[in-house]
Amino acid sequence: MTEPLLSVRELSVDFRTKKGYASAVRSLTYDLMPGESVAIVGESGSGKSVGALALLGLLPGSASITGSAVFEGEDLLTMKPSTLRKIRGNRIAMIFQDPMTAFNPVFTIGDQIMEAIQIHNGSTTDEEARKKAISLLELVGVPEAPKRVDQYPHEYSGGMRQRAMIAMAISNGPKLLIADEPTTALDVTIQAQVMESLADVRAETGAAMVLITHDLGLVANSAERVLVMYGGRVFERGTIRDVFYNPTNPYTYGLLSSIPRLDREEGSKLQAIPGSPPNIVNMPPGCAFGPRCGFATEECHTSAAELKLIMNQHYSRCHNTESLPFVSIGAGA
Amino acid sequence: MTVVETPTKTILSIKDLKTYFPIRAGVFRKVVGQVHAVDGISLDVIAGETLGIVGESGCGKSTLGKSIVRLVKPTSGSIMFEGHDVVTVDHDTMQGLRRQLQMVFQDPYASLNPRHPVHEIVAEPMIIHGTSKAEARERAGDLLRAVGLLPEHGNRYPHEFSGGQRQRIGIARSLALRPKLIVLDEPVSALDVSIQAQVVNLLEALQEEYDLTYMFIAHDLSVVRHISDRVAVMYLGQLAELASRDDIYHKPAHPYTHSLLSAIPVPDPDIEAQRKRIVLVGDIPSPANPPSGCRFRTRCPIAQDRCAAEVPQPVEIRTGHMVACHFPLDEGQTLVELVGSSRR
Repeated sequence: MTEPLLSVRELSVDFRTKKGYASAVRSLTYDLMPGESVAIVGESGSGKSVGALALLGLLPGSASITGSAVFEGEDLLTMKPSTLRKIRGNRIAMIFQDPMTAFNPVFTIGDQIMEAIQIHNGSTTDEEARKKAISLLELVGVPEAPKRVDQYPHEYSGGMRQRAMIAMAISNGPKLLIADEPTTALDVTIQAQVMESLADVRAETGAAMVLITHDLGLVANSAERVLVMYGGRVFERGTIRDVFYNPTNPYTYGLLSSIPRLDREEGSKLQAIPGSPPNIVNMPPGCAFGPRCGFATEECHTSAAELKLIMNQHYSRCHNTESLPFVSIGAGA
Repeated sequence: MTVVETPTKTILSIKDLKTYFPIRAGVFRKVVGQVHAVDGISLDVIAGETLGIVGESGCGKSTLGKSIVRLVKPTSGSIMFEGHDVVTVDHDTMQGLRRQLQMVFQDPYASLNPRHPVHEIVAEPMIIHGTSKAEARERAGDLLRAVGLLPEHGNRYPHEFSGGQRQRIGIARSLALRPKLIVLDEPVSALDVSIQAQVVNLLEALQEEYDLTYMFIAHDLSVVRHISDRVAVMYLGQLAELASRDDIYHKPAHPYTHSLLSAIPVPDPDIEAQRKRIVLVGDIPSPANPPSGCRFRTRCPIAQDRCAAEVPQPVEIRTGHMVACHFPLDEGQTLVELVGSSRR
């Protein structure tokens, strides 16, 4: 078996706030194999973005981070900032949600991609870097790249800007791409374009990807494995087939049943999950989903469940997995 | 679908509606151009139905909604409602019409005054329209109960509520004057996935209870399909297609509708793995300078010369199914068959 590219163990992130400790991420553990795509899905406040930002040292100073995240043999969480800076934008690159704010408005797109190249490869001449910037823009499908390389971010449309960001992210041939809601700000037809660019780029470079999203449809179409997060914890983890076809956690099951779907005949009423997501400041004991869960027992309100192996790489955090009516353990997909 | 066949009463009738916004430049703010946000829309809203309006950003769907409630002043055309034309009616009459014509906004954080307790927010429309304060306050409590909150919640301020609860407050406010038609502008798109279904279910229950007609504006085609009886697809200020929900989703005729449906990822790994997708090239053109002829032609995979020369007029291809396209697709035909799927 090959070594994982990224190995995250017991990653926890707390923020000290005026109202108390906000436990944004609790004991996040996962492996990412080279070239693989893992999706982290959750609602706002589930900790899905914080868990990824922590890897790259992009959280504010008020965050206290514990655990480890070993990338190619080195722990990202304990290394010196100067070492991390050499990895960030080089072997690990990030694609942010908002292409409007991720670029500096006073430099051209080309300048910014060239900077990303030259900062990690000091010997690259301007001419070489420019040529590379143009070919990167062509790779992600920016039309008339030789001309558009000299344009400013405001001259790009949202979808185009997001592709330029992908071009910048892959400029140094990263082993790992972290895409944080890469298409949430975009229209559906543009989303399809950007996801296609991303897939092409990954096919070309062999980069692994951590895709952070709230969109289960996007997960089904672009990841191999998925982690479902809720209230800072992983609630279910497995291959996309296992999680989508045999969910073993009431939250995943509820989420999958609550969304209206184009591929199904129209039923009468949506199966809504009652209540709202938990406040992560001063979380009560017990299961974070307990107050909204239709299958909760007394135990769920007093102690939080552990993430348990259900079968073959499929994990779920629930006290009552065995007795859940929708779970058919052993059926397999 | 029986909606189109049952005897129907039109509650709102839009004819050739145009809403343009001036583009100003220079020291004297001279008008140098027009943004054609809504550019010649005609459609009827039937009493008791939910009419879904879908399209991407910049297609004019929100401007259409705001024009109906006259939060923006249309440039030309007519919107007949209760025997009055909303476009030209005087201010006082409009005030009266607004009782029956309400709107719910997308952002539940921006649309509620943070300095007012919730009962004042919900009672305010009633007080403006002449209800006594005591009565308005009492009814505000009932309305909060109707949207699944408690009357006691009225003493709290908006920041004490979650996004989903705030949207419920916005809905309670829109119900305060017992309207006939509510324009819902992206009412669930700012909410978390697990909360969206709650609000959609609430809207459906309220529609039944209060005999409401909805105009449901959204970019999410799955939610629109769930809630709508009929669906209008907009592109760059114009109607591309208008039909019953089932016709739009099962027999789409406009290549744009096909592409939209094809672009939406489905939460099913096997379907996604086998699916052939049409990925449109290019971006949505600017509504300040729309393309000649058919507005979709610059991105349409089956566009021909005629599409650039001639504006396609809406044609009824089957009962209640209007399409504005020179080359609409037949039932069962797919764009993928015609042009082949994209690389993936």
